[in-house]
Amino acid sequence: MSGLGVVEKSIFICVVLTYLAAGGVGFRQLSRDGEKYRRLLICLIAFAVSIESVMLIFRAVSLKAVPLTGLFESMIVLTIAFGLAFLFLSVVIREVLFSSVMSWFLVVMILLTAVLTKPAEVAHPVAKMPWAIAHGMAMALGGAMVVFATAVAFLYLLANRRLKQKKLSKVLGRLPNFQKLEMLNLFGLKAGFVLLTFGLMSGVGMMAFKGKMIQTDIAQWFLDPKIVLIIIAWVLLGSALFLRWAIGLKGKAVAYVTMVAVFLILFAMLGVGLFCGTGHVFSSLGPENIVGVVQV
Amino acid sequence: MKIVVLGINYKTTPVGVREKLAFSADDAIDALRDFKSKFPAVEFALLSTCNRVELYCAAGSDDAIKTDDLTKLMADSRSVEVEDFRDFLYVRFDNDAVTHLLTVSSSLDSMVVGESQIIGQVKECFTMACTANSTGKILNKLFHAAFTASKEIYSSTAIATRRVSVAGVAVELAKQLFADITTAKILVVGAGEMGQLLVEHFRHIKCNDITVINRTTQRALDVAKEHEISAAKWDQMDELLLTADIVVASAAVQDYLFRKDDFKAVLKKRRKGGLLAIDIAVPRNFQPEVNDLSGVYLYSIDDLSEVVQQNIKLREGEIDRAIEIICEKTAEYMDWLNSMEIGPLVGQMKAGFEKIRRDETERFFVGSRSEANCKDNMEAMVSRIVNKLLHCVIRNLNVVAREQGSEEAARLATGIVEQARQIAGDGVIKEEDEHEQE
Repeated sequence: MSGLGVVEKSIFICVVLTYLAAGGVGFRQLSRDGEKYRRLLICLIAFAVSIESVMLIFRAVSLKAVPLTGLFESMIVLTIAFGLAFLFLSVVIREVLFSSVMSWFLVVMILLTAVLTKPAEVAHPVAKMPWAIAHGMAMALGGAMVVFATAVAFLYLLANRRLKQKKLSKVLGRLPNFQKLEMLNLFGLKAGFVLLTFGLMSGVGMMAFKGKMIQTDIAQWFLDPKIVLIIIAWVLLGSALFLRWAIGLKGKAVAYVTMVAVFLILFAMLGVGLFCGTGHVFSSLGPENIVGVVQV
Repeated sequence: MKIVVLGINYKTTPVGVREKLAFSADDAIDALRDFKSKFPAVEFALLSTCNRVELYCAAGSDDAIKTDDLTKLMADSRSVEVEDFRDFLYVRFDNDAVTHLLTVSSSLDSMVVGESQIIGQVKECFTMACTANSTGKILNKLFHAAFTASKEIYSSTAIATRRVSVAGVAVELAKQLFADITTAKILVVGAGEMGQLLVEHFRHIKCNDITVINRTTQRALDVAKEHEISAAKWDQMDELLLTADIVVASAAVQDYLFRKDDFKAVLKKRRKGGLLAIDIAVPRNFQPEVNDLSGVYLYSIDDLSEVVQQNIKLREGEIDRAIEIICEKTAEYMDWLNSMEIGPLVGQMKAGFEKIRRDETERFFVGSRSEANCKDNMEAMVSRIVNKLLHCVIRNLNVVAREQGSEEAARLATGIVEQARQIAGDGVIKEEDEHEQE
């Protein structure tokens, strides 16, 4: 957060506190089982998403570019997309565990953003190109969809476990409809796969047309751990969807694949920067430094 | 003022007696008209369900209603002897009668706590009384208090949230599993009674794709005809299992009909999603290990009964909260009733206070004072003071009515009215003023 201005920092602190409050309400509503807590939780998340969007505008103004260049900004976009998906679905899915689990996922995401990521300082010239904007947008939204599918997969596995153990009082009226969870999981996977495909294609396009600008070539690019992990996640999602179509793979298997995919994506976004180093950086560093990172 | 309820219910009375006193809707309206014609000063409402027959009455004075008259009225209207049901009869008065109606309408007095039918029956009873023109201010307000209490209890407690029958829980479970239960394929194995009960429940929630199979095909055909569903031959079972979403097993067999290994082989051929197996047969039709198979959710009658017991306990746990609401609403209603009783006296009190205010103001604004600029303002101020003091008196009267009964409140109010009249009439205040001036 050190790269943020006073106003942006205040807004971000407000966002984190609001999400933490939502997480707390998520716990509370499980013990109290009340409609008023669900409404409060929805209001808190709607408020947090709104002020996150305001913060994103501040970031765009200070960077003078579409704020998708830094990991911090990408994570903010990811939480906004996840939050919006939750807000739309909360209209039809009223069971308390759904909103609680979603709020906890949002808390985890915002805490990861606060602890592990740094705001962009200087946008790389290529980040202002349509290729990069399309790439950043598609990857962030794709990531959000896969995280959403994971949250639903978690609920699906929880429901499956409780149904098998015959703990009906913990399922009836508390967890969303079992088939709907499966359908939502699949929707998240499909949307995530399509967006990631578009993101990867635009990334390749960016490399092909603007490779000189970022002083690297496609071969180097495809050896970058971040990209390798994203491609593995993409292949995994594609395989799950293909197997579903071909042999009717469903239920628990799809849910587990979703979880592995989200782990890969989150590690690619957050872990690679910490443990491996990556040249896939469009902020904070000048273009000459980016090449240096790739060489690492 | 008096509210009385007398009646019989399933707790006190055998069905043989209850059926003799039961009223159809038309009979009830005729009876209420008859009661009203015999006792014009009394308000009547008649609640007649399969579990209870109750007559609610209210009147402005205690003398207007006598329990014996009411008992006879009920007996005559049904052409039975009073002696036939006197021993089973319960009678409640005033506060207890109000609490009773609120308890009944909130289903706390029903066979199954939390059932939703009773509030509809109470509403119907009130509509019939309105049609017969046999209610008035007191019963109208009482029934509305009952509706409000019932609504609050149903919405703010978990008294009606969970199913309390095996078939109901099974249907709830099916709804939890399938996004659109109306399109689910249901296979009923065996034509037993419980199986048919479940078929009724599924038909009730608009499930149309139900097939019954039985070893005796004719029996399956008979059941299918009775419930307007399909029937199939016993040897089509494996084929039907491939496409079924729900299997209801209720066949009378001595050994497991579905063993884990056989069922696994069937599941391998299935392309559909989860399968809900409801085994309500005793001895069981499914080997319990079938539940270990992926995508199969097997529930025996014991599993469902356990949920029913949990739900019953949950509902019972909510009874205390419901009773609190009933007590609160009863107190509110009794406050209103008591204030209504002392209402005319409060009117007289207001008139007495008003007369004192008017006389004193006129006495003050005489001579040169009558031309004073502040006359209107002062009159308004005096009026406000009198009203505020009167409000204090009325509030205290209501407290007395609630704590010591309406008779005591009425006695107190009558005393205040008398004093106000004396003050206004014999000019006590004037004398006191003069004394002060001296």
